[in-house]
This record gives sequence, C-alpha cells and structure tokens, in this order.
Amino acid sequence: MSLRARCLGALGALGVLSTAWTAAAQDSPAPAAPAHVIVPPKLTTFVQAEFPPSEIAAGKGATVVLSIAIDVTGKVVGVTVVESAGPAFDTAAVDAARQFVFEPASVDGKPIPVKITYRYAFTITETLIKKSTADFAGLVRDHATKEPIANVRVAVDTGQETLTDEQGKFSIPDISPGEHGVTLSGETVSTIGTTETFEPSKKLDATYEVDKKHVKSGSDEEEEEIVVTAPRLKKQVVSTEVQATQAAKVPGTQGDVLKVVENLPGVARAAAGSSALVVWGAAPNDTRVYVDGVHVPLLYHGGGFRSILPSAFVRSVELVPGGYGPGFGRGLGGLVSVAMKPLDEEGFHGSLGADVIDASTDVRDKVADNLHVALGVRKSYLDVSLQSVTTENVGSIIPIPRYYDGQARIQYDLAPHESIEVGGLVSSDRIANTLTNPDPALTEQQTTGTDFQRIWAHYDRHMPDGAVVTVVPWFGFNYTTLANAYGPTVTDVNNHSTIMGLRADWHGPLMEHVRGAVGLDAELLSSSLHRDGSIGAPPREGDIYVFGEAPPPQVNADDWKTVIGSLAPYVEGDAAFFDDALHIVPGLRLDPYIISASKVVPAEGETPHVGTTHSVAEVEPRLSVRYAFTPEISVKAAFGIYHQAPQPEDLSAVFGTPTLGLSQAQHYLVGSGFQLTPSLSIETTAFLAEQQELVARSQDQNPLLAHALDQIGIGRAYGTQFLLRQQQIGRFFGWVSYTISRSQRRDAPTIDWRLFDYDQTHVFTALGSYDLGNGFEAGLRFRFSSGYPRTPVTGAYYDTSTNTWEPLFGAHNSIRIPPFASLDARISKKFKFGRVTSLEVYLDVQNVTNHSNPEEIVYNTNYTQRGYITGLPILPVAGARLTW
Amino acid sequence: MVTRPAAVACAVVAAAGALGACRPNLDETVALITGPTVLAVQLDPPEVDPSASPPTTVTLKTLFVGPAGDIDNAPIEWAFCNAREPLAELGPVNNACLQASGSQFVPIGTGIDVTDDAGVPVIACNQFGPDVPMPMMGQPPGRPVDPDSTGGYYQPERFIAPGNGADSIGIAEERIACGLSTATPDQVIQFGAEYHFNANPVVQSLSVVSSTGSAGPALVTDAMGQTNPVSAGQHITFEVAWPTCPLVDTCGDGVCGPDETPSANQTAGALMGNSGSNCPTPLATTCAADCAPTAKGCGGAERYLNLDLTSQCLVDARESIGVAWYATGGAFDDDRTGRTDTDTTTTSDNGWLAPSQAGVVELWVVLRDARGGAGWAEYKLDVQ
Repeated sequence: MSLRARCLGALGALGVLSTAWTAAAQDSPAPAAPAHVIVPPKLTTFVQAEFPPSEIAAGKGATVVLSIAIDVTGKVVGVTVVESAGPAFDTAAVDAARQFVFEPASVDGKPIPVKITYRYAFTITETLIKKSTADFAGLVRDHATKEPIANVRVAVDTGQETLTDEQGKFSIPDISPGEHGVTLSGETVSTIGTTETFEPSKKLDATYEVDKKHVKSGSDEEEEEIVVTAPRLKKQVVSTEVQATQAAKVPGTQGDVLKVVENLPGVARAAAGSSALVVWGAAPNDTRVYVDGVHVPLLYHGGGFRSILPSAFVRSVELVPGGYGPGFGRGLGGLVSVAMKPLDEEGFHGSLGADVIDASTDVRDKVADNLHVALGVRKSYLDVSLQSVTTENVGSIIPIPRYYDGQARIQYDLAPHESIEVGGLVSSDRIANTLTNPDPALTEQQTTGTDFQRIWAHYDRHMPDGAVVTVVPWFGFNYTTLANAYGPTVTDVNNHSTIMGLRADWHGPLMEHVRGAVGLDAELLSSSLHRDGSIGAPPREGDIYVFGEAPPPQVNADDWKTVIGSLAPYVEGDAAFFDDALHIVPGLRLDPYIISASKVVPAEGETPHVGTTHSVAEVEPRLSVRYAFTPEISVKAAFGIYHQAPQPEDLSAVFGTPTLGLSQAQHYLVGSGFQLTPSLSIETTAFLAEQQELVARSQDQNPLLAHALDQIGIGRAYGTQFLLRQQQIGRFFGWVSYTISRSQRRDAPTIDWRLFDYDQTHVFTALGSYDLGNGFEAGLRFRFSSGYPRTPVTGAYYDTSTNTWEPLFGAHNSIRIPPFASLDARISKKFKFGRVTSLEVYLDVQNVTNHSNPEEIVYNTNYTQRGYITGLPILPVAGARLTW
Repeated sequence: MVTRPAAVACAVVAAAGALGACRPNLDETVALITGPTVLAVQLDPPEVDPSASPPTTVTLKTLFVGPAGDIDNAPIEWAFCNAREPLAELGPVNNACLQASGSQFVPIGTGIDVTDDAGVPVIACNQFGPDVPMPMMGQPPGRPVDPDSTGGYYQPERFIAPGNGADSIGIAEERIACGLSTATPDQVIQFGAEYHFNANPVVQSLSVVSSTGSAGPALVTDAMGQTNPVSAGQHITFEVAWPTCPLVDTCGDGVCGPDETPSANQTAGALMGNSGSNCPTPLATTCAADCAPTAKGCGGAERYLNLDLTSQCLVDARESIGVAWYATGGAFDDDRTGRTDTDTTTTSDNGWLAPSQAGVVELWVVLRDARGGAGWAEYKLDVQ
C-alpha cells in the first residue's frame, strides 16, 4: 500500500477582468444595451501537480486558490496565489497552473483575455500495490477479561519489534515472507512464543489473548508449576492456520504433547514399558491427573508409548509437582492438569496420522452459529505390525500394549464469553503375554486391562469484571483387570468402579490488589472388587523380591465393595502488594471423607458379612508467597497439607485392612526465578515432602484378622530441581532440567529407613528443537537418570518341596540398577498445501547411539549369576500426519 | 494398592523388523551334578495330622548326591522351624528358619534319613494352618495362615547339608492336615470324610524313546546294580512314567478317591456337604476296600477334595506332576518337565545329550506332586 497524491482542480468563481470592460463600467449609465453571449474559458490541458513529498508523510491534503490570467489564445500568462496552503502546496499548484492550456473566453464569439479563480485541491488516497514484504499488525489482550494490554513487547525473529500501545495494538511493517518466530513478553504477561507465516503483499492481522501473570488464581505460577507450551496463549489469526505446539516437537514424544511431561523437572524416568508417572518421589497413584477438571486414572496408555489424549485436542499440560493450591487434593504427590483446546475454529478441520505404533484421526467443525463439535479416535496396531515382520507369536511372549482411545466434544457458546461443553472420552488398554516352560510349574501368564470412560459438562463464564465461573459435573467408569499365573499359583484382580465428581469454581477480583477463588471439589468412587490368588501378587511398593520370582504360594479369595467420597469446599486469596511485586496466596481446603467397605472381617461360611464405615474431616491449609525483587528476579515459597484416601484394593478384609484411614503429607517449597533475557529463564526449587500413615504389608509375625496391611509407614522426599528454559527465539527453543532428590520410606517404626522403590537420585534432561527452514525441523534430547533401587541377593537356599531356589536378600534397596542414558533425535518435514492443509512426516529415533540401558536385574536359577535385562535399543519411529 | 511395574518391555526394533534380545544369557541349568547336592526330600508319610494321638512318626529321606553318585552318609542336620512367616516376607518360609540355630527350631535329627517319632509339632496348625489362638477379651482374633492352591498347609523343616566348601541350607515342608479355614459345618463334615491324605509319587519306569516315538523297555535302576548302555555323543529322549490314577472312583480299584469314604456314616455326612449353596451336589460312596483302615493312595496324579476359595465350594481337584532331571554328565534339553493337573498323560519326555567320552553317568529322575509329595529313581548309564 502506498500513498499517492491526487490533485483535483476545480474552477472557482470566474472573474473576468478586462481593461476594456473596466473603462466602460466607470461611465455614466448607458442606455440599455443589447444582450451579449459570454463564453468562459475552457481548460483543455490539465497538468497534474506533484504532491509535495514533504507533505505526504503528514498524510493530509490541501487546497490552494489561484488567480490565473488567460490571454486571447488561451495561454496562461500569469498565476498568483489568492489563498495559500503553504509554500510547498503553493509552489506545486502554481507550477502546474502555468502549464494549463485553455480555450479562450469569448464575448459574442470574439476571444478576450480573462482572469479566473482556480481552486487546486491536493488529496491523499490509498492504493494497494503489490510489494514483496508483509505487514504484521494486531492486538494483544487479556484472555480472561478481553481487555487490551499495553507495553507488551512483540518481537519477530527478524529483529523487528515494537510495543503495544494503550489500546493493545501493534504494527510492524515490511517483514520478510516465510515462517517467523514471534515472541510476546512483558512485565505483566508470561513470555510466550509462537510461529507465524507471513506472505508477501499481505497483512497479517493477529489477535493474541494471553493470561496476565497476576490473573492466575489457585496455583500460582511459581517454581512448583511447570507450564508447557502452548501455555495460556490463545489467538485468533485471520489468515493463518492452527499452530502446532512446542511440545509436539520434542524428540522421543512422536508428536504426543502429553509425553513431554516426562521431560520436566521433578519427574522420574519411567522404566521401559512402564506408564507410571513418578513425581518428586511419590508413588504413581499419589499423583492425580485431570483433564479439564475431570479426574482420570492415568495419563499414558500401557507401555508408555502414548498418552490418552491426542495432541490435536490438547491446549496445554501443566505439571505441579507439589505445593498446589486448595482447588485440588486427594493426592500426596503432584498434579497433572491437561487443558483441552477450546472449540472456536471456523470451518472444518482435522488431522489424520499414523506411524508404526498406531493411527489416529480427529475432526473439528463449526456446525452452526455458536456450535462446535470435535471427534477423535486412535488405535494401536503394534502387535499386528510386529506379527507381519516376525515369524514368532511375538505378542504372546513380549508384553506388547494394545490400546485405543476416543473423544467427543460439543461446545455451545451461550454468549460471547460464556460457553458450555458436553464431552466424553474412552480409553482401553490390554497387555498379555505368556512364557511357556516344559515344566508347567514354571509357565507364566499375565494379562492386564485398564478401561475407563468419562462424560462431562463444562460450563465457563467470563465476567466483565474479570471473574471466571467454571462448573464441571462429570461421571464415569473405571475397569481394571489383572490375571497372572505362575505355574499353579494364579492371581486374579478385578475392579469395577463408578466415579462421579463435581467441580465448581469462581475466581476473580475481590478488591483492588486482591483476587480470590472459592469453589467446591467433590468426588465419589464406588467400587466392586474381586481378588483371588496369591496373597503376595501383584507385588506392592516396598516388597522385597526378584524380578520374575514366583509369588508366594499362599492363596485366598475375596469379593468386596467400597465407597470413598469427599466433598471439599475451598477458598483462596491472592493479595498483591508493592505494585504487584509481592503476592501472598493463602488457601484453605476442608475435605471431609467417607470411607466404606462391605466386609470388616473375611466371610466365613454362610455368616452374613458386616461392613464398616468411617468418616473424617481434614483441614488442609495451603500458602504460597512470591516476591519479585525486580521483573527479572523473584523468589517463591509454598506450603501445603494433603491427604489421600486408601485404594479400594487395600480395603479387602482378606488381602488388606478394611478400616484403613487417610494418609497425610506436608509439602514445603522454596525457589527462585531469574529472567535472564525476555525469553531465557532459570528456575530453581528446593522441596521437602513428608508423609505419614502410609500403607504397607504387616510386619507382624502373627497379624490380626483383616489386618494384612498396616498404616504406620512414613516417608520423605527432598531435593532440588533446576530448569533453564529458552522460549521460542528465532528458530530455536529448548530447555535443560535437572533434579537431584532422595525419596525414602519406613514401613514400620521397628524397621530402618529404606529407599523408595521409585527413587531416582539424578534425573537430567536437555532438549532443543530448531527450525531449519523450508518446513524442516530437527531436535535432540539427551536424558540421564539414576537407576531404580533394588535389594541385592546375597545367597540362596533350596526348597525341596517345590524344587526351586529362593533368594537370600541383603539390605533393602541397597543397590541400584546402573544409570540410564539415551540420546534421542527427531527430524520432520512439513509440506504445505494451501493455507490450512499440511502434511508432516517425521522420523523420531530413540536411543540414537544404541546404548544398552539396563532396566532390571535378573538371576539364574540358583542365584549364582546376575545379569541385566536391557531396554529398548535404537528405536526409529516413522510417521506422518495430515492436518487440514 | 501401590504396585511395582511388573513387566519390562523387551527390545523391539519395529522399523527393522527384528526382535531384539533383552534377557542376558545366564547359566540356568542346575541339572548337572558337580558337587554334594540335596536333590529332593521325601517325607513319609507326606501328609500328617499334627493332632493325631499318638503322633504320627515321620521319616525324612534325603536324595543327597555327588558327582560319583548317591551319598549314603552325610551329617545333614534336620529341625522343625516354628517361626511363622510375616505377610511382609514373600518367600516360602520365615527368614528366621534359615538360621543355623535358634529357639524357633525343634531338632529332628542328623543324617541322610531321619525319623521323628514325636511327629510334627502339635502347634503346627496354629502356626502354619487355619487354627488361630482364641482372642483375648477385647482383642480382635488373629489371622489364619492362608493355604496354597491345593488347600494345603505346611510345617517347614530346615536342613543344613555339607556342600562344596560350605554348608548349604534348604527347607522341606511337611503337609499338615488342618481342615478348612472357611467352610460351612456341612462342608467340614464332607471334607473330613472325603479328603484323603497325599501319597508320594512313584517313578514307574524310565525308558528310551525310539525314533518312531515309542517307549522302549524300562531302564534298569541303580538299585539293581546294573548299568544301561548308551552311545557316546548320542542324543537320547528319555520318557519317565508314573502310575495312572483313576479319573473316576470305582470301589475296588485300589485307590481311595475323593468320592469315596471308608464308612457309611461318613458317606452320609459327606452327602450333606455343600448343601444349601450353589455348589455342586456331593458325590460319596462307601468303599471300605479302598478307604479302610487307611485310604489307599496312588503314586501318580491323584484326585483330591479341595475347597475352591472363590466359589466356596468343595470340588474335586487333581494333582499336577513335576519332573526334575539330574545327571553327573551330559546335558538335558530341559532341567524340568511335567504335566498340568488337567493333562491326563502319565509320562513326560526329556532329551539328553550323552557325553562324548566313555564313562558311567549317574542319572536321577525326581517326581513331585502338587501336594508336596516326592519320589525318585536312580540309574547308571554306561556311555560307550
């Protein structure tokens, strides 16, 4: 677009001046003369005046009034300025008028010299012209309140940058075409990066909705929160398509956003083939997972290959290793909160992807005004693909996971800032394998299954004052099955549960500098369980045994029902002081529980069984404090008390203890944050988690009836974690995380402290992704972690009755599996077809160096030799995803 | 319930299509006898009632062998261990039973074969069975010991045997008849009438399987003082056979089965079992010929009465048979073979590669049934 000056001439009043006429006009009144035919001069040649260059920048036109003398030939013989518009406009107008050519004026056909008044107008008009660069403009506003945010730095990786004005607007002209990283940063917003595509001769108009730092309520953005991109960045861009997140580009994730959680500080590396999530030394069951406020039993499918949600549905995943606010509870460990993308796209979109492990597809459409739908489905076929390339029945020998999941969502916008969504998801996992032996007593079989379904309604309303109301009722089922057989000793555990919950939350401003939150978090779990078989299988955390060892031959059976419910109101405040530098966030959660089991003692003959119910109300204070010395340097601290109900499996009168109560933990955190550059930051956090009333097997030689488990264990986890994070800058993003920690348990006062089974002293991850241009992206990830603790075998004895050698153990968990190290790489190429359609092909290679990583210790038959089961060798996974 | 990851995924190279090995190659065989070794212990009888009066004499016979064959004399120390195992320990016995001495032990004797006239300790069913002490006033009752899948309870016996350079500790377990822990009174009566003590399995024969798959004549046992010729370096398939036990009880077949009782009174009581429940109707016939004065057992896979803990019904069960193979030379294809409880075959095969050098090889075959019984046979192979 450029400005051109257009000059419009307009003949003004025609003033005829003639000496001949003048004299005649001064005499005495003449007698009435006959009428004369007067023809004014006619402009036959117009000359365009040059718009004064000095006046173009002002963007304003002007009008110059001239007096033009025209002789009998029509030639301009004199030009004078009657009304000036400034020297530049005057000169341009005079120069042009001198070149005018007229048909001369005439009286009765006879040419006469005249003078005329001429108005020469200079006007600015916009003309689109094709240019080779693009222009970038837009608006940055608060996601919650929709209010514009001033002084946000908008920077393009070309080096061009600007600040938003008071209206939140920005403009950056002449950006070279192609994909560029855009970074938004500022004192009141989190630094966020994204990628935009600029096309020549086009203007990219973007609106970015970001969360202001002080808007967050509940869990604070402190060291205990690690937010993965795309965190809280929501934008609507007129001419661009939906963007992929940084998380999907991390090597080793195969584009699965939620798998990035494994690379965050505070998260232990899961053993190969395990989907366990171990955060700050807490047991996997102690960390709760939520999807848009709905509790789900697991984050990853069996084997840990995939998460339960497709990346296309995920907006952000947030890991809070501990110290979270009162809005959540019922867990001694951390919190994983997945936020799904709001359905707000125009048009029909979707994706179709496949690799050697599974295939998935999703579609999203705006079916009517204010009504959006989204569907997704994924299914694995690794067992089938392996069968096609091996001659053995691999799936029956090696535990290959078989899974599928599906999602459906319908969102209706009740008002511009009010919506309701009804949705559901299903997930299913199966793993089965058999190890045959010529002696049936050594044949092993294992089958596990985990299924869950959820439906929910999610109501959101953003108030004009910035408050947000959220109400999420939900309902679902959990099914878990475990069937093991080790020779004649079988184990069969089934849990069919119905679960429902309600989360209602209001958070918003209370007064100047004070925000608050109040809500209700309710959950009810009703379970029907069956278990029969070995009393020692499946093994519990803390059991001393060797991988592959036969379970105890003692067996029993039980059927029981449990009900565990809690209704927790909570309140939280966020008071800001000293110009938002200091935030004090106190919170309180009151969590009354009811725990019921159908049998207080084992069934005996036909005697009717008697159940047990007990209730307890716990008060859980939470507090976090953050102080920013400068916008770049901040310190944080947090404290919280947490409780967790017993697992339904532990409330059996035969295999557990029906009268188990709540376990308890206290979290203590201190940390600091340094914003080294607008996009580079380092955060450190020191943590201590203490636990009491943990459940473990009874140590008594003569346990009481219905007391197979005791609740007298204690635990502690402490350490420090570091995160050095480079947000998107230019073509690169990445982070380095390191956690050094120790997690211990003491199952009874009479025994010593021991390392927790999931303790990992060192966990180090360094990863980065670089945009190579032309649609190519490459990434590397290096991981190092300590091995899990194990109990050494110091000898063996022979059981003549079963013809087996049994291990003699040393100190509990006193040795470790050797450390793990792996370098993973990823390269992808994106082909674009039009503005919204693209095909991405990728190659994700885990363990590029084919490093042999021990995963488990094994022994020979009589425990005279020891070796290691090694994990995955180099594992290339190629895949493709079509997005429209 | 917090569990450890129970499965570790082995290496899979999907793109390359090759199945990567993930387990290390460890020397798994224990079939080659290289030093003094206790291979098996046979308890006679293999099942006793600790409350019997007078106490049942128990004889412990040890198969103690070395590279030269049977070791007939050795100072093997035997003792009952009365330490109950805590639930937190997952092995077969309390770790205290693996000590050399302590108050938890009741000495039995020393030697390859020992006899205990005092029988198993009378508290066996309290320590290792379903009987728990009466609770004190105001105190909850104790937890009974859980049975194994055959409904059995066991009194552990610890032995200390000389080994290569150092003594070796091991355990044997005497099956103790303690009744049922959770059953209706009618089921208790039925069980008392129709459950018959275990009998040790017997090696009926060991043969060489010909190339056509048929078993040849039985090898001569070592007790007969003769050897069995085999060719050096030859791969031989051995077939061990044990007696066939009836699958259906017939009075006079020489075996007292789970549907037979020794007297009419007991038959009447057994027929009342499982009554008023969803359990199968009991079967019971009086057969004094097979069941009186003591129940006649079978040296093979016996049928027996068992309480199914899931259905809480008394049902007929059948033993599995495990076979352990040992030799002083050569190499077996498998250290252990066997038959499940549902497999009615009364033989089990195993391959053996004879040494390449001539000499005499001692060979032992040990049978174990699911209820703790054991029996064996020994052979001399003359490798030529």
